[in-house]
Amino acid sequence: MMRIQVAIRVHRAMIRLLPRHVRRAYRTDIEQTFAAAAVDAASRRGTGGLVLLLFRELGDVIGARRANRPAPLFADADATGARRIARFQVDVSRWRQALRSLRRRPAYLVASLVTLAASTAVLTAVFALVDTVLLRPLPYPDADRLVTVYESSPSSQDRTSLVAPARLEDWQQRTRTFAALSGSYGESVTDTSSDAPERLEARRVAPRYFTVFAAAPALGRTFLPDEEIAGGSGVAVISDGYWARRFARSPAAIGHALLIGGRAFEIVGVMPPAFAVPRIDVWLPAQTPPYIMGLREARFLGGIGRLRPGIDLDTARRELAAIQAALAREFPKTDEGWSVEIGSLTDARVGAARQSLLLVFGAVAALWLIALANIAGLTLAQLRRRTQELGVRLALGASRPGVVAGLAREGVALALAGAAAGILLAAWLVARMPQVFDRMPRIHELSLDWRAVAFGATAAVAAACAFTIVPAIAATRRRIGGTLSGSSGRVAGGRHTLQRTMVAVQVALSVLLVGSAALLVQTYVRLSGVDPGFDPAGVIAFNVSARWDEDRARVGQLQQALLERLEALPYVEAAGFTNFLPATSAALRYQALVDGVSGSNADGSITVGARMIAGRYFAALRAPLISGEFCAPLRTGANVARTAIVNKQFADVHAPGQQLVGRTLRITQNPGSPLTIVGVVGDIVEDGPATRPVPYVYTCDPAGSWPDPEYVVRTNDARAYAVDLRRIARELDPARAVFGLRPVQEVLDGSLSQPRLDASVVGLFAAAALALAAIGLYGLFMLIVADSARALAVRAALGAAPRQITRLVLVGAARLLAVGLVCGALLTVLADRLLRSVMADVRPLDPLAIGVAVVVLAFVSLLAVLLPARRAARIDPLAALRAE
Amino acid sequence: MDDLRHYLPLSPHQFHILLALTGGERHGYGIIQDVERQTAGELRLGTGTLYTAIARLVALALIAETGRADERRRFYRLTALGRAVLRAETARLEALVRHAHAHGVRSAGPSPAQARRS
Repeated sequence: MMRIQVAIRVHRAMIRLLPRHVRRAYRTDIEQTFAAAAVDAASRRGTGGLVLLLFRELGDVIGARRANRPAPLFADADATGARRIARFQVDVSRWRQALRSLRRRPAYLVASLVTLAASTAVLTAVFALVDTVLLRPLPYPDADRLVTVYESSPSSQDRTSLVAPARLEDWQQRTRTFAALSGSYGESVTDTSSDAPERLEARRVAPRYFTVFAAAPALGRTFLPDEEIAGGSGVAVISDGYWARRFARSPAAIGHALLIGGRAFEIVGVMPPAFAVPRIDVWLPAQTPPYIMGLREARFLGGIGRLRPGIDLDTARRELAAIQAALAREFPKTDEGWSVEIGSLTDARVGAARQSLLLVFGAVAALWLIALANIAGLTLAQLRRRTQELGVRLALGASRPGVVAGLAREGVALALAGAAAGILLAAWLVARMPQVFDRMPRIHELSLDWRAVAFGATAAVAAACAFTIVPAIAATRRRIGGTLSGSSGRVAGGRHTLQRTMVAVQVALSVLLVGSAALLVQTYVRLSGVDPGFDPAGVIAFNVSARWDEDRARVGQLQQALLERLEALPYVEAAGFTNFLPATSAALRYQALVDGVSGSNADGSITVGARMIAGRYFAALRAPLISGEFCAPLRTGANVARTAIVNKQFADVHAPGQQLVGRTLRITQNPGSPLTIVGVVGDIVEDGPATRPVPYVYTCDPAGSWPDPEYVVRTNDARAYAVDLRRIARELDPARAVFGLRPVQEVLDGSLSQPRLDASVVGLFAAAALALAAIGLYGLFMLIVADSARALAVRAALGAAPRQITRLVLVGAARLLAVGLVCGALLTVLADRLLRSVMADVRPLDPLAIGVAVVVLAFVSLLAVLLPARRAARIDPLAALRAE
Repeated sequence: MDDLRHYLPLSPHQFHILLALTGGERHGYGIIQDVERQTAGELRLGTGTLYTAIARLVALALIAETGRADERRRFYRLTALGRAVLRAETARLEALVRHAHAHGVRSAGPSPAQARRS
């Protein structure tokens, strides 16, 4: 009887509403009694009866106190009870009074409600985002014990390197700090088990991969130890996404065989949705063959490990470094100088997003403060308009705490309504966030959970206290006589201190937001203006599926044939391929030795970025050839001459004025015949537009050495080309999928999506801040002008020209603005240092950005006070004086 | 009688609970069922009302626990004081009804006026 258990649990929560002494004395008995009633209701009227019972119980539990009060027949019999009832009724009437009072001020009500709801919604939604991505642990058991493991090369900089499977096994055998070590590499595979070949995103995993994550499959099992090593049977574990897409979540998926590269992989398990980073379809055992296990220099695994309980990162790092030092003595040729690099998996997964998120959260917090100041300002203004009413109440003997409490009740009612509306709005925002922040890690885990709701509700209610009680106290501080007489003093004088402070704070924070937005826009504009080093227009990239463990000679023939046939098309200018396209954040570093050049590393090597290229890759990109020549046409076979091209940065930094063409170059991590430098090419933004050029080596490898490269083609007829490409690929090998067809310009733009998003989000907040500050200023000066009507009227009566009065108001506004602007500029200077510490791409303090912010703010603010100033000038002296 | 006036009036719920216990000791759900039967389904006590009432009645010593524990349920019985208060309340209600009749006020339907005022 599942539903009865559920009902009992729900009821248990209701019991908390009962008076404590009843709860304490009878809790178990209440539960027993309810259980009996629930069984009865369920057996007689089923689930409906159960639900009805629960509703009745809820009403009953809430009404229990009242139901047990004796009827007030003899008031003396239970005087306290009667008094309690009386007080309760008065309380209700007071709350009604608060609501009535709010309803009498619809403009104030709507303005503050909308401001509060909107700002609470944005704050709550962004908190949910920050909470999901940064604060919540990754969705694995004891996720804080998961670490990334990399090798650390002997280079002096950019030492991170992938891990060789052989070394991983050595570490696993010797470690005492890790519960398990494993690794994986990505591969794009094609399944031909259904009608059309389907490309799948696969991870090939080293032994113990699922043990490291300690994640149980949703269905079936993960790999057995003898399936994980060479010679094991073909098995596969699929992701929830692929399971839903291909098998409609049918359990019959287990046992189905995927056909990948002609080999059958039987599906043995399905992982739950939280397990995979998105876009992984299938995990296959790497089953690394013995000859690769013998190559200690074949580094291609992204390492992952689970620490034993109680072991911290440093301890593990020291132990693994010591193990690697011992390995260096045993295998000096391959392991000398190498060490390890360990970091938390959480940092690796979300570290890149942290800057952006903190930036957005900071902006939202600033906006929230502005919104609060605005509501406080609105409250003050409406209290000023109510001074007469409050004065009368105080004069008639109401206590000041009583009046403040009455005003606070209005604030609390407002806050509750605003919080509720804000949280509903936040739910809507959260549902839309994955589209805006589509590159954010863990975005698919995003939900508006109770933590975010509690955060938003607390913030809104705390705000209510701040923006109603403080103004209420301030408003009632004035002497009763003064408020009753209603006479007002100087123009824009010493009064309204609290509200003036609020407006100054708003202006200052707006300057901060506008200044930050200007900085970010500037950064984005600068980055998008960076010369990529080639002409991306008319270049199209695509992929052809191929596995790393298939016959390389066959893949090589395919690559060669594909490039030849594409270049034969009349509208194709050049075709080639590379292992990583520019600006796709593949920035692994290697060490290169060039004869006659002594590099900055201890062993004379040069730290370089490296790319594999083939065919007429540079011709397709129209990258400028500075000297020598590009790669020879693509050929298969081991006896192809090994050549390389270096970039301009390489030549300028390490061999200025020297002739590099014809020299030999060796990449220390890649053994084999040395390469001959055949040319120098211009600098290309390989590491993205935000990074300065670094020395790069492009190796012209034989066909097949990189099975699944990024093909690029320069064409002037993209549509015809797309059709022909698929036809040619089908003719060459129908079992391969062609995918990832996209303009290279799009790839470049992708590298700018983060700065663009940062700039637009902060820009949006800045615009909102501007609007709020303008409203705040407008409200303040309308109030000041209204309050100063008498003083202004006296001046007008004494012959002051309207223009003089306008000037008087404007001078008051300008003084206030100046304070806000100066504070804001100072804040921006402070924030700029913060901004630079989180955003690598932001340039040092830019006076232009602050200048823009100050000018924009000043302009908007003056617009906002112009109307009140003109109204001041139109004051009719007679009417104003008579009104008193 | 004068002493008992301090216990009066009983709330309708308490009145019915005491009434249910005149038939002997009952556990919580037994009381709910009894009251429902007595009032022909018109008054269905919830656990909240029941136990707030029980706490009050026990505190006033109108009812007591019997000490019998059966399947972890607790049983309650009427005390002598409780019986006396019930009588006093009945007398008060009778007096009220007589008073009303004397003023020519009669209930419209066939069923006797119920003491439901909450």
